[in-house]
Amino acid sequence: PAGNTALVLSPPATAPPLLLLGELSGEGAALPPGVLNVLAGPPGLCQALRAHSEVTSVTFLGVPREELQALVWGSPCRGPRLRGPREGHIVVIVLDSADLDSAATAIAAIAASPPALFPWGGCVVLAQDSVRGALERRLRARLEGLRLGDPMDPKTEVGPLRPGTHSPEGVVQEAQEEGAQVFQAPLLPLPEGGRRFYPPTLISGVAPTSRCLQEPASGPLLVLLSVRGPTEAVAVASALPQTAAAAVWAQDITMALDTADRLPQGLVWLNALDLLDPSGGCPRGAADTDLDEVLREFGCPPWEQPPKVDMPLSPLVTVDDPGDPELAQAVAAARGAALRWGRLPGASRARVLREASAVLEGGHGSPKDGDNGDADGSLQRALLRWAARVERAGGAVQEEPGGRALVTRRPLGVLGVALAWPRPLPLQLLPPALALGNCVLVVTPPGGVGPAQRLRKALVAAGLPGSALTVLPGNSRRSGSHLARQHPDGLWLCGADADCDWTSAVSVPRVWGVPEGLLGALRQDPHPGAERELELRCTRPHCLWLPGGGP
Amino acid sequence: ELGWISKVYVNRPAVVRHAEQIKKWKTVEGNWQAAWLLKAVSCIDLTTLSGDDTPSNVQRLCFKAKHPIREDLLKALDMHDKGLTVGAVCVYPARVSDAVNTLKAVGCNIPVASVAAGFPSGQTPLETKLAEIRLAVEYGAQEIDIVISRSLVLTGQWEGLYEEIRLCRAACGEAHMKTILATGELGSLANVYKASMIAMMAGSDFIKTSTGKEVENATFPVGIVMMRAIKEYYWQTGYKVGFKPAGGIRTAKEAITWLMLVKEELGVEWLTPELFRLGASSLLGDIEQQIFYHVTGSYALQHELAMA
Repeated sequence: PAGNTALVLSPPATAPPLLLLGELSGEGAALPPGVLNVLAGPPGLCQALRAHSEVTSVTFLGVPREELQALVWGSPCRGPRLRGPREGHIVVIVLDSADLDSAATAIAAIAASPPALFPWGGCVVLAQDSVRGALERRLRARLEGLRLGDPMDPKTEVGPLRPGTHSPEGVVQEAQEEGAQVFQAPLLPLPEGGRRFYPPTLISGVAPTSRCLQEPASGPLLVLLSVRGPTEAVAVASALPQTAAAAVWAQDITMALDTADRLPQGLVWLNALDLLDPSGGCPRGAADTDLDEVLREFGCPPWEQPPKVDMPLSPLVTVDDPGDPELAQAVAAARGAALRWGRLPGASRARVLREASAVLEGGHGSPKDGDNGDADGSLQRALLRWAARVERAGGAVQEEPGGRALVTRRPLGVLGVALAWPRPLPLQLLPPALALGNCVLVVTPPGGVGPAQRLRKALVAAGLPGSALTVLPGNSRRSGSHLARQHPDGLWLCGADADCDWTSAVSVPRVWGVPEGLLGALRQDPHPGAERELELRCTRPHCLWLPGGGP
Repeated sequence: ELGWISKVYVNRPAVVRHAEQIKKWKTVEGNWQAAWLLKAVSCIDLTTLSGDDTPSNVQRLCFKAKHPIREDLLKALDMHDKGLTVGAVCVYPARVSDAVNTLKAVGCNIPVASVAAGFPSGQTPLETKLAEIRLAVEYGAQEIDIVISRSLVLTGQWEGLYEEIRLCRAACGEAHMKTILATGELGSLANVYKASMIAMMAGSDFIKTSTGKEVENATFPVGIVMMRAIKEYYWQTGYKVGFKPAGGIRTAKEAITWLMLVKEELGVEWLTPELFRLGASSLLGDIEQQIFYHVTGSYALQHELAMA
């Protein structure tokens, strides 16, 4: 609907439904010919797509992370934009005041046939000690009753494994060797017809390092862990590597809302597991799935030109980079500060920015480096503008038939910024990032350290925690990759020279090559879209589903 | 054992959502449908509970109870020699003797169930309730459907409720007791669950959703909650209590959905008249219509099927 044309490449095994879709969209003049094209071929064709000059954006669906690293290429700033896969477990936290029967029903249903938005999955259930036994018994009863069969038949609840994926048998056996209890519903004999079925499986008693928790499951797998209370549940849920969404089951409303608030997942359901809306988001997936962001990705804002053809990076220049240990230390300190700074209410952060602006104005003597000073006061204006904006910032409530969803935006956490434009330095990028609750680690060329440090001093004097903003000198050519290797929660690359290769950036959830036009827009009176763009880039969506008020 | 009900949590929207999904289950077709319908027939408690019941209409009911489906239809399905009858006949205490005599005259051993304990409101003193139960048993009722005092549930007097049901159970003696929870008047699903547990602990053989005279009778969310309570009780004690949805079940499709729900929540062992009954009066007519349609391919006219 955004007006792009699409070319879909899929391995031959999964091609038939896509080919059918292509055929159907052509018939009846639903779509003009050429708008949707489907190619069935090996993944190596990706390289050919890369070289093609007309391709502007590439999205991967359903690719496991390891294969993705082999397939990505080039850099985030040039060439086609790459979007990563959406995958992960669904984490379900069951507290002692939960309706166990309803929770067990919903969990079994979702483990058997995951919703379309999270095709890779499996479910991890964190049950409070006091209800673990009862929940397990109910889960077993439910799993036994699930019907396997042909996915086209509406009576079946568990379909076959997707073609081309491994059977989860290996993972299950590993778990068994580690001493877990594995419960499998008995598999009735079914007509095969080339499909593989795997019975729904419940694994309990594994350690958090077990393989079934580390990677998303490729079949109907449920892992049950025991926790002592809501705080421990939040800690374990935050420590799971790839999670797509979370759910909290508890009838005690205060505890439920508090737990849901602390979870890092972008989509949280309260006492429900099957309500979906377009604003779901995942913090560790490489995709922004907020509706705003999806539209942005497939469209081109006015200050941006479509990215040009991928060109190889020119050879390395002199080494003046911050070493890895230094960066690591800075990132760790920033993470420590991020928790406090990010959790402050918007008004406190706004106050800090306002005071910093006053300090800057007051201490504006003769700039040491000559032309890098804040001569036109635009930095102060930016600080004030963002202070005002963050005070007003709020979320939205979406009403749907099953309940309502609270959609808010949360700070990313630690943001790494690699600045490369020589002059004048785009320090206007920093106020939005800080105002919205991130902690920023800036790597600038040596000439730009001065003004950045001045800004920092002003902010620290106004009350910003010391490690919330760190300025390091470095050559931007490689600093992007160095920063990416420290796994910040976001990475911004500004300038023609700042860059990083995709292979190191794949682990960072949000990488953004800041377009030059955006900054130009910021220098004068900002384009309203530009501010919104920055806001969206500094934060990630968080959606809390509150069911109720049904038919 | 009050500890069992102190930690009961029921999430209403989740249960309602589950119930909505159940309504969308594709129903069975063809021969399987006929089989499920006949199973449903064997589980029906054919009921007449009106102010204007007289011996004549109770007699007609008993005849229908003995031959719920027309002979030739059963012959077409090859079920005419299986002795298919309904599960029981349910009437007011004053009509119990008429029903017992009629059934004896036709040579049928279907139990007669009597409602008692101040049906339908339950707002009568405990002594009259117990007296009514004893009299019904004396007249020959083999099953008693008692009504609980909703006020005890709404004010949270769980011990009082337990005591009341226990005394009724003692008064029933050898008769089999069904406890009507009148779920439409209990306020919340959590209360339904708790009342079910207390009723089972006090010795009911069956728990029944409603009297049929309330505004809201047997709905799927309530049924789901009660069945979960039955399952929990079975897990805790090993004792199987039966379930009876009553009131508001008028179509054959609903009857089949109830049977499928029982199979899913409680398991196949509960699909027998000893552990499952459907309290209905016009349902039998609709089931007979559906069987007529299955056998002949068209619907029957009003005079072609015997009135209950």
